Amino acid sequence: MSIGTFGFFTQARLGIYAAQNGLGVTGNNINNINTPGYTRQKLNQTSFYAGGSDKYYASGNVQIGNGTLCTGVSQLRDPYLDIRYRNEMSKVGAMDEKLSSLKDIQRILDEVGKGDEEFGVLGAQLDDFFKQLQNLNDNTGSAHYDIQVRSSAESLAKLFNSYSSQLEQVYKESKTKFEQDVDSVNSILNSIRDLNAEIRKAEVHGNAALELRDERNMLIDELSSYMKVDVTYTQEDIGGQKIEKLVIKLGNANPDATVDTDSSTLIDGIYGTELSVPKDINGKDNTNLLVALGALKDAKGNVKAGSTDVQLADGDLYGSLQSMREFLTKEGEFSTPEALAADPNAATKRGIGYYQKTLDLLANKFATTFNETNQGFIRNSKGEYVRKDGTVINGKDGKPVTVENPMTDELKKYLVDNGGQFIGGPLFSSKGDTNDTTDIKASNISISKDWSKGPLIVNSFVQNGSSGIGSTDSSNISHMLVLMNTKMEYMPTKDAKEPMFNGTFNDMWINIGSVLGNDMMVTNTMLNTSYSTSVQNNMDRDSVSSVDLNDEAMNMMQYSKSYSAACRLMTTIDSILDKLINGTGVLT
Amino acid sequence: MIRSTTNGVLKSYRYSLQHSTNILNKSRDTVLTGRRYNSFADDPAAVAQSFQLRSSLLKLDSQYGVCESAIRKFDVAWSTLNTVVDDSRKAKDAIMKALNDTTGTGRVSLGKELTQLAKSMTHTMNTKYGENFVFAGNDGLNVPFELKGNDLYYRGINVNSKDPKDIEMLKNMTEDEKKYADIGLGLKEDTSGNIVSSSGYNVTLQGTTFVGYGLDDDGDPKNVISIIGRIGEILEGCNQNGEFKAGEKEEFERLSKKFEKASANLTDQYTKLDTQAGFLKENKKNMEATSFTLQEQIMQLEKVDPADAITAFAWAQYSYNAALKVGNNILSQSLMDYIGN
Repeated sequence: MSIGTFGFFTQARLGIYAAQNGLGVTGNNINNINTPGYTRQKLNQTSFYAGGSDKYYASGNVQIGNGTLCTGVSQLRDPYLDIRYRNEMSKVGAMDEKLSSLKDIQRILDEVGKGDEEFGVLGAQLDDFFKQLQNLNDNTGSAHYDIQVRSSAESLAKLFNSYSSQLEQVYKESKTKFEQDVDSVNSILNSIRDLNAEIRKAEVHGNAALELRDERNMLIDELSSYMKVDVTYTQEDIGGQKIEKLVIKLGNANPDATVDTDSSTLIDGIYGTELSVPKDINGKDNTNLLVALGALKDAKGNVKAGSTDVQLADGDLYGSLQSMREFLTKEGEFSTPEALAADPNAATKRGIGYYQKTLDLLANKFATTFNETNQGFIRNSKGEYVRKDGTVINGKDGKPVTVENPMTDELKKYLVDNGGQFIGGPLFSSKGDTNDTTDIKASNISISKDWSKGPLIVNSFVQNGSSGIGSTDSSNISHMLVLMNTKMEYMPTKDAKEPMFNGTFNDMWINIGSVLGNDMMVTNTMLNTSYSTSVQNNMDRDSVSSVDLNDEAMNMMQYSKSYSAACRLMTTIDSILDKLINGTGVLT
Repeated sequence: MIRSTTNGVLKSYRYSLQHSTNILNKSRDTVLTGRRYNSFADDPAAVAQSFQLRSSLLKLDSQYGVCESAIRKFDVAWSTLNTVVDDSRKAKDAIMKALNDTTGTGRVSLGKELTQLAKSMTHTMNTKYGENFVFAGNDGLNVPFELKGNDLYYRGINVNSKDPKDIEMLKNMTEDEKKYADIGLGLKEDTSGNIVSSSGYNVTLQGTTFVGYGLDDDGDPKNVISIIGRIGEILEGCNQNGEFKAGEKEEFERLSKKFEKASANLTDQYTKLDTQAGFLKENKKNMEATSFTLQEQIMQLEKVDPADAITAFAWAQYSYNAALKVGNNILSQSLMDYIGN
């Protein structure tokens, strides 16, 4: 169809409109250059051609376009780069949270540079205990030196108590943070769900809702650091009109291929789920803090047809939420068979429980060792148990009962019944006002009631003839000194087949720091790598989606010139029409 | 990257600047603290090794104290025995005189002198170091030697007892009773729970080791104090003409010979004690050397070379300044600045 005489005015007008809109989009881009999450926009233009056929065919008729039409404004975004960035962010979130949590433990257990002349605190106290035992060995029989040993032991016990209490505090704070993180994730999911509804509504009315999409993208970015997600955009048919539907699923993080709950849906268009940590039958959080997903619901609480609650498996999540969960629940070598069944890698994942139990194990080993060493029956230099008059106690077989015989309850009773002399008592207890030695751990280790009353360390169990034990005989204290340098096996559980560590008390303490340090070092390296990659990915995204001043300056000049050109066109058309109307046939 | 945008460039710069700042802070910390690491996470293996060395150093410190204490105890023992050996020499002189001086008054007075020497030696052997009696073996809180009449008792047992049980107990005390001190020889136990003798140092001093105990085949005492006491008693019993009581002359002559042997044993043990003290002193020197080595190792592990640290810091500072300079220019110009000009 050919353009009418005044049609060219429209053509010029469309050009002005297009240039003006282009300047508007450029202005919007420049305005939002510092707006977080803003995706640069562009004006979509098409060449306008008024189609159709003339009533009469004329071979000389020239078909001319009618100008340009602005068909909309769109965002410049590459979904693939979003996927790459978000995948990396889940790693950053996981490592960052883990490192941050480990630093909480580091503040308590890492003694580098601490203590008198940087000799450490608890480690140095173990050495001080050794020193006091040396003094007692050198000055056996003096109550003063027994008290010195007791004071040192008391300080050691209090350090165990303090460290245990601080670890418990970290656990509580981390638990609170975990619950807050679950709430934050739920808040993000609800916001995304609501934004989906708003975008949907806008799309129905022909609005691309670009700003809402930016907001949604930011929320998805944030969500991706909490958990690995898989984001897809599908088309939804609503009464003949197809509009975009956003679906977010968990990112298939579980290494167990048979598990499919790790790809459960979090967001399905206007429906979204909520995370929860189900309670056990006693109304307490389940011990593994396993997370469940609620049925998909819309903003009004209507459940999506066919959607049900999903109980996630142990390894279904990956990201900061999972790191915090593992920090709170994983116990490394102390993992129960159930925990190992749920997560085959549980033995190498060491959360706060590992450090609490390791500290408990050390405190218990220390207390138990010295409690056992400080009580028993008096024997002669040959190791035969003797009565007060020095006579040897024979067993039921007529042979002397010696220290080689395992000390069972039955043997104890036999010795007591036959004049055996039991001396000493426990040095440590689980409560300071008793001599109770059951279940001693870092949180409750204390000096026993009897020791707190006065000297209790047994110098020697060896009686020479009927004259009793030598007043400065210190064979038992020497034994205690040896114990301080003896490598011992630390069994994580009663049923464990292999020790988790073999070493002296001090070695065990250093090992706790080493395990923590190694874990932190590896995590830090992984975090740096992931963070660096995420920054690169983010810059790649920016290369597509971010506003650039040079670009916008070019656009500005371009649209400015095209605006001027369109105006010039209008002037030209006006001029020629003026000539046509006012000049045609006029003789000058 | 296809397209470098204003924000992309800024983010990249911000990340690089953070990195540069971190390195600068870390190198500054290193200079300020002088340490190679400030947490286990910085270098777990080196920190573990350092703590092991520090623990060894603390242990060595306490072992050094024990060694010093043992040296002091042995010094006291040595000077005490010096007195006893002197007394023994005096006794020897007196006995020699008694053998040669046949006058009555002379033998009686020599006898009194010997009796007094026996008492004096007993008292000397009850010397204390600190709260403990030096020669009381493992019963250091109780007086070891006691003279009851003419009988010498060690830790409640008559050293001249004819009861085999008493002798057995004295033998156990003298030969088997030990008190080990941890002087850095790697104190450890055998499978029976007894200290391995080479891993500790036996610091117990049994008085009977020095003065002897028991009776010989003739039924005479083996210990030097009893011998001196008995000789003194015999000499005191001489009449005004210097004649012995019936049968005592032979006993005097016999005991005089046995005195030589007991006295020689005393001198031998005295010399041996000096050797032992010498070992302890040598061990103390070794410990000082070990302590120095340990401290040096700790320093090498923990401390940075100041030249390295300062050079690293200067380089970090230089890089940081360069980064700042770049940042100052990073967004200085764009096409925007030329539009309209």
